[in-house]
Amino acid sequence: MGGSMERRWSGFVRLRRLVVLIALGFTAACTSSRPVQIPPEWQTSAPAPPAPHPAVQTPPQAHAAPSGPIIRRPPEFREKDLAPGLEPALPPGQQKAEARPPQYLASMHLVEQGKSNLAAGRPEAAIGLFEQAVQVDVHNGEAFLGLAKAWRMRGSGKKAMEFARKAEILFQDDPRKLKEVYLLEADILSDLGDAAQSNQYRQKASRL
Amino acid sequence: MNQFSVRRPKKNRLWLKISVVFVLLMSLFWASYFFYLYSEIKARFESRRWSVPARVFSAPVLLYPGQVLSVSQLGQIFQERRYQEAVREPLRAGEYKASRDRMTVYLREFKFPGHTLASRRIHFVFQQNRLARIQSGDADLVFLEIEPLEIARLFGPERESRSLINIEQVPRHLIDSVTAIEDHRFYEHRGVDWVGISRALWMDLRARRVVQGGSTITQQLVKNYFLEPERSVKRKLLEASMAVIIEYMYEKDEILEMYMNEIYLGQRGSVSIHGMGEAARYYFGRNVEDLSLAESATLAGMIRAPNAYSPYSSARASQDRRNTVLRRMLELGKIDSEEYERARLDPLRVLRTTPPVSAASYFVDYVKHQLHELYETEALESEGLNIYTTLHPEMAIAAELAVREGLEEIERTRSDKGGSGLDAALQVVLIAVHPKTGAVLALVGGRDYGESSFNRALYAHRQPGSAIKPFVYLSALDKFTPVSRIPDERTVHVVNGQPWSPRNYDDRYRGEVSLREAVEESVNCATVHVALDIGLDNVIRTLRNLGIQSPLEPLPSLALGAFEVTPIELAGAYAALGNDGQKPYLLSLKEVVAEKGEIIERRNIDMVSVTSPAKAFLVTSLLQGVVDRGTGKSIRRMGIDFHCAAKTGTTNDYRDSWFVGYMTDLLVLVWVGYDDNRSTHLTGAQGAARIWARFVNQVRPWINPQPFRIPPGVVHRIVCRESGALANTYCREKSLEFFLADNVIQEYCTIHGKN
Repeated sequence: MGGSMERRWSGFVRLRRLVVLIALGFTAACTSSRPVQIPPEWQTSAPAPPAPHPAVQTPPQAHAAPSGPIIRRPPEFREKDLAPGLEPALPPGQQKAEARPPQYLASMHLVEQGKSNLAAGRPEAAIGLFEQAVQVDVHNGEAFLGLAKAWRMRGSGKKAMEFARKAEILFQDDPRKLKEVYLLEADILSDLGDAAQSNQYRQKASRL
Repeated sequence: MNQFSVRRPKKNRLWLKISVVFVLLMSLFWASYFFYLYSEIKARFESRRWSVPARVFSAPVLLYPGQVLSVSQLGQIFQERRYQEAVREPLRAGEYKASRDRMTVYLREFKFPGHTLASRRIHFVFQQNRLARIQSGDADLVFLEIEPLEIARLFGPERESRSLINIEQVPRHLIDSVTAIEDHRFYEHRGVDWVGISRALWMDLRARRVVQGGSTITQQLVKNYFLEPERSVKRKLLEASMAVIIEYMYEKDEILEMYMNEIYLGQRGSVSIHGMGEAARYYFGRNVEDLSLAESATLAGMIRAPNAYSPYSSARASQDRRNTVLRRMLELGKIDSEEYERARLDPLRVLRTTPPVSAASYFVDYVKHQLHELYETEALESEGLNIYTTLHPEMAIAAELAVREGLEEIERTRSDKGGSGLDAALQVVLIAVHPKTGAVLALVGGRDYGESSFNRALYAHRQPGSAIKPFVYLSALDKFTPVSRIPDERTVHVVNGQPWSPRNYDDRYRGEVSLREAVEESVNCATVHVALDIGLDNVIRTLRNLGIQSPLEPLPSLALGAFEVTPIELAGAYAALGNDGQKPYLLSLKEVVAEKGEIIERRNIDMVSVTSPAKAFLVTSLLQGVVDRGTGKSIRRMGIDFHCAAKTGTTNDYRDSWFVGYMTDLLVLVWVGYDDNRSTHLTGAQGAARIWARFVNQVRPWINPQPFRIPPGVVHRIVCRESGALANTYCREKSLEFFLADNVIQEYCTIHGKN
């Protein structure tokens, strides 16, 4: 009888352990293995693959919808959306230094060589080096800026403008460089005889 | 007596006159003849001396610390460039040695127009399959440029392979080897060596057979360059005469340089090896200046009978002949006994790897096609042009491997194997493009160039199917947003008086889908609805802007890719999406450089804005969804774990299987199908995507996929996944969505609320 009770008790303990284990396993399985982050506005980090649509639990304050009944609200559409990077600029090289991909240094080395050639009035040689720099690091805004300058020096305004546009995208987080790009674009447009657009770019530059 | 004595001088004078006239005539004849020979020689030597085929090179490869690269992969790179694994220190140019996590390479010099890759010793350090350091001496290098790979030669009908060298490049011991064994009095005679001829005659008479020739190097040059290989007194006289004239016209070193460039030194299949420069590369994988004494003696020894003394086919004979040359050098005091012994004991090591002259055949055809538009065939085959291309050799090799293995895998797993034979073979196209520069990095135009050289990448007109949809949605972004609700139901359209009703791939009709879902799941009905809503002319305009030149008709089926494009056109159009809306001009030919180094053609990166960066980004974001959740998600299971955007494409009756995907620095298009348009029984994901993933995994050391940059003009909002409106606190499932700044939704979710 006592033995039977003991067996029954130990069976109960085993069952309880099993239930606890299942519960723990279930909890672990339901916990997201990847912290979900919403990229701040105008940063370059698109949601990391292969995560599905991020199931956001708490939207950031800026996007918080009003509590209570659903109401129509004007869109949150601010200048910041259009002209990012208004925060104070860090000196070049310090910006996101830790996030630089390994090819960045190689690419910058080529850019420096390109700049030397450009300064020496050899745009043809500079173009080759800037192109190689782009090939190595597609996000090197300096290389595109260099290409824009070199093509302008060679008298190809349209080409220069295309490369300047690329630099403009890549320097969104660097107001100092962005200003340089805007001014270059203003000059290129002026060369192309588009005074109105040129002025617009100058104004953009002056706002930075 | 007196009369007699008076008449005699008259007779003498006559003979004298006749003799004088004869001598004058003979002198005039010989002078004219020599002048004729002189003019002939001058004309030949002052024009192009040799037919040198154009050489086609890949792009150089750049290595940098931090690159994902293993020791074996780097070893492979050097082997492809015909470097030899060293057997002893010190390393010589063209050699490398590797350990578990280190590699030392002695680079050969390589001259580009404008800059030279110096010959130097480089030390590589690896950590966990990454290149950790590149060192030259004590200095750490930020990057290292590796010489390009020669991928083709454009031979003329004579099929002579020759790399011209300058006498200043030639090491002293090669000059000494050649002169010692062929003409040791070369610097003493004036074209014809009478001492040598007498000695040779004496030797021949003693042996009662021809054992020694008396031809000087100059005579050999004349024989090889000007004369037919007949054995006659007349030819010998002519040879001697011309040799004398050449000696009069040129310096000794000039003559030796011509000889070293002219001399025949063996055979590679149907191609003959001419000159020491080419032979040094072919037999030893070295530039001529890097040849050792033993290697120089081997090449010099081959002059007499190149194939009999070939180090490939007759190693023993070649080594004996080399030692004969070395002994002769020792006898003549050109080397000392220590040098002799060292060189004599040197094992005969020749390069065993085949020169990669047939790599990337479809790409080479593509380049040739462009070259033939620029230059005459004769110029390409004989003027020694150096043609630099954008081909990434490692990617090109990976592409061919991925295509071969991928097709094997598809055919193994597919129920219908499609029969056998060329007509039945499943065909393939793979195009790899750098989206930011337009550089074509690899191009495969079929499964086997040997069987069919038809370049499908350029010339196959195939229906793109759903692979065209991104451009339909690109055209619609002014009106629609990624959360716009689109009808997904069967609708009958009247096309040319006939009813036409598109069907979804899975025959499932959801009633309504978001634009994002329509792209991710490749929903046909929704796409046709969008195309008709914005107007088919708008779609056509977009396609034209993106470089699609094939005929397009404003029919509803246009939205589903029911028209023909070439794979290269489609790759170009996608490149605009991967390049912030700027369509790069595809670039395969970079530079054409003349023999003397001047650049005669240069092509640069060029692009034109065809849509805004914001729209291009939005489509990219939609295509990222295809990979993360949609029809292309199978590649995530194949090791593609980084940021990438892609679209599948399948046409009616599975005739075409497409997969076009891009990262920040690589765009790859793959097509799989039959030439005769039979069904492949493969969707884009089942066919092309497999090859795509296989290729991208293999080229991982050469790409650095980064997050796609969000350009100006794009904003993001948190939306309710159920309603597609801006999310409120009560929405259970929310997601981040991107919008054009001037086309943002403003409505909040009305489905979820307090109640």
